[in-house]
Amino acid sequence: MEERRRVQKPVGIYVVAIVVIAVLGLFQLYRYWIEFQSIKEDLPFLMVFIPLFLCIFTIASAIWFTVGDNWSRITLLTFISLNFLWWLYIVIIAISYSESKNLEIFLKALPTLIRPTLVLIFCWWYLNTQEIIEYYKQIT
Amino acid sequence: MEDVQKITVQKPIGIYVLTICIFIRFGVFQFITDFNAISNSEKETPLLIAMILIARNVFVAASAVWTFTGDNWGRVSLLAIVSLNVLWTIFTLIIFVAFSESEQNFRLFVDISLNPLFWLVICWWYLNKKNVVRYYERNESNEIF
Repeated sequence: MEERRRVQKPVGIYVVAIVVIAVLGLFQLYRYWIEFQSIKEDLPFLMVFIPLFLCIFTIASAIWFTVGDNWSRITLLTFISLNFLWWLYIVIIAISYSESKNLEIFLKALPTLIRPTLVLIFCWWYLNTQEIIEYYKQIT
Repeated sequence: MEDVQKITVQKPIGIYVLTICIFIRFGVFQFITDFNAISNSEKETPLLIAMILIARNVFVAASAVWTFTGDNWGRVSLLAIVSLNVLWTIFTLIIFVAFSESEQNFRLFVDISLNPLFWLVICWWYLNKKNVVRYYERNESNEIF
């Protein structure tokens, strides 16, 4: 009879969860908070709700990922991607419609994109390694 | 000696249908719509936005052709690019609805976003069906989803 090899829970899962909660969750929330404070006009409800929703759900899916099944892995990938893409979209719109020089705004916005980009690449790479896929499929 | 037998998997007919539909809907039709919107806009469209609008249509068309040829990376790229394309539309609609003063915002949002969302769901559903994945991964051993 063929015996299936059991895959031990990789420690990297906790590292990924902590990095995501810190960078795309708490730090991103803080960044939005700073941006909201700097805007003097009233922001529409949707423009406040969506970033908050994305950050909170990213944190929640990172926590689920540490205890959940394969769906938690897919949910985490979805939320980190949405979170990053929303931020990227806002930066693109800000650069394009800004009244000051595009290059100046771009250089100012660029550092804010580096950290989320690195986290996104790291997560997509690590969460699709053979070891992680095997572990989560084994639970599911 | 171990005998390695190659399994021949028939190309599902739906791949032809889906890739042609995506090519027409996102490659041709959306290109014309975006091009008209850019050229008929009262204010000048920023260069970066214009480039993104045109590039998204070109990339969808290209990845639809790639998927049509039967390459697994074509399938993955089509899923990624169609998702990005639809997200761009949805994000733009959100910004428009958020800053618009009209009372029929929600209805407008639903009307415009339903069609791209429908195609997104169809793509993710069909391109992750077991027989389709088996066809695309006939020469590969790694799986993503």
